[in-house]
Amino acid sequence: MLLERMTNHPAKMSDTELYAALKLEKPSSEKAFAELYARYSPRIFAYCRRILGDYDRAQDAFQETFVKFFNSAQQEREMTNVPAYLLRIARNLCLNMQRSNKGQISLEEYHLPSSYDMSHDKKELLSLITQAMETLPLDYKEAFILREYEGLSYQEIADMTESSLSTVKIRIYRAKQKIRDILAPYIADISKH
Amino acid sequence: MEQQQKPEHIDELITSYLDGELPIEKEDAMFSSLASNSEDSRSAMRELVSMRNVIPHDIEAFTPPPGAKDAVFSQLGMATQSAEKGKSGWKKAILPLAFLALGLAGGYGFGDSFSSNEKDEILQLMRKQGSIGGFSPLISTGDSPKVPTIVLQQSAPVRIVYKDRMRNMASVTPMITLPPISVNQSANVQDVANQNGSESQSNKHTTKEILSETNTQTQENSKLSEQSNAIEKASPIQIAAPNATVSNIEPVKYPQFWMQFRGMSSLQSPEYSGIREQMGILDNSRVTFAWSLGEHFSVGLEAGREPFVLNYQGIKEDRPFVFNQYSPMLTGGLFLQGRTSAFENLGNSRFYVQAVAGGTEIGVLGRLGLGIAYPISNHISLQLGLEQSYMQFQFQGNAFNSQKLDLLYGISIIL
Repeated sequence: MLLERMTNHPAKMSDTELYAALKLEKPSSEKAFAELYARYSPRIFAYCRRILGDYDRAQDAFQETFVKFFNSAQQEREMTNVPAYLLRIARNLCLNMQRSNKGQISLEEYHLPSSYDMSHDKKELLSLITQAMETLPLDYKEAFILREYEGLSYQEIADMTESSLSTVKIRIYRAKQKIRDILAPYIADISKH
Repeated sequence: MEQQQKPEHIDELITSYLDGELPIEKEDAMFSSLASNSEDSRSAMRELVSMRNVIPHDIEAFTPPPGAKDAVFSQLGMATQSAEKGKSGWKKAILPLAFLALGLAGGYGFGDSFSSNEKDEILQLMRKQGSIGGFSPLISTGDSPKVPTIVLQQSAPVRIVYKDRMRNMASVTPMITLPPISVNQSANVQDVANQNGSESQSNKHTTKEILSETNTQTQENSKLSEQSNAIEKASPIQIAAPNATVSNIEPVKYPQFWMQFRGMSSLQSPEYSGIREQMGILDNSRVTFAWSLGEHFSVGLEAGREPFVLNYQGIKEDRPFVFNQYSPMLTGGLFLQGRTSAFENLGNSRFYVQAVAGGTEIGVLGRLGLGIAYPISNHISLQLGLEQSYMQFQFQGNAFNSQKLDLLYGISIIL
């Protein structure tokens, strides 16, 4: 049954079904993995990219996340929340990278792809937010990214970071306040036009 | 009490509210604060909303590196990079190629069928004419031995039949009037004369002179002469008219092969605000190769490169996800055109309807167009019209579509 659905309709299968299908023989496991990759690769890369700041290190962490994820699926494990599990793997890898590269974190200038045709205002605002994020303490930055880029609830962030709910709330609030402080003159300027 | 809340506290409420974390019982307090408090609270709301709205547009963060997937799959012993690329390239090309092949096969198939049917019709017509015996067959004239046999007859309907093609000549102005009689000046003159009896003999001289004149006129008309020479060994040319005529009007032969270049300007398409690829002059144009199977119908195939707005949007984890791209891509497909007769009061322009069923690099394509073709010479017409295109494609397992309306301008050349 699982095999048949895997062959014909992988896009209609739930995360947990796809996760279970990772244990099947090829090509079913490949199809399941490709589907999960398609579903969650943008979010996982966004997390790695914004937490680490550096594009190459983000790519390394991102690739390693999916490799570990696939390998872990071969073990007996009950899976209820695939994206949270992927994020947890990515988080561990990113934090390890952060520790090993402490003091070398680059505040690289934010570049949009040259062909990206967003309005100038939005582009500038996004650039400011990204730069402001880099100035935040890691705890605040992570809480902000998990909330704004990954869409996690406060409780999910608390579970993920093993913090209390009130701590998460404070971190997110302060992260946004800090970013707001940087953005305020710019947004006020936009409002005048 | 609400007025005494510290600004930080109001901001905290706003932050929680925008994150969907504010308990319902505290919402009233927050809105009261917003309504009664200073401009600071409202600007806080404005800034937080701006921040929230712009992050989904962080395409750079949400777009994994192009080679990352291959690297991951390769590490896991799955499809290699080259195999994946090859598969992807094949998938991109298969739709346009499939429809191009269909168009080609359809064109040849229709053409053969039409020629065959038309030939049968002509043969039937010839047999019928021969069985009636109302005219003298196989009479030729002129100095050249290559001049084909010409049969003149004074009867309706008005028709000229060339080899295996025909054209109605009702509107042609007569240039030469011939009496209803036949003359043979070729090697078989005597045989024909014997067959036709004394009446033919007695009329021979008169008709001969007239046909001589006819032949002179014919020779002056180079195009008709060329056609006569070309069909020397084919079925006899028959001219049947109330007053037998030779015209300098070029006959239309079908299937007629033609090509069409079209440029486009998008009049309407979905709003985009995402990635726009660089556009070149050929990124919004098409070329069509077609066969006119008759005066009113053509079939062929078209290929081109044109831009579509790719608009992906949805909700993931209760958050909006928007990704817009404006991207030129290869298109191709089966082309069908139906057209009206020429309108003399519009400079012999014709109105047409054309449809295309095909594909693009990423999905299936259908379009419908209306327009007018204005001939500036026998071989060239100018086109102006509108086309509505509809493309459906898949992204991450979900179906999306893109529609656009184009102003179309082009040129058709009969080859």
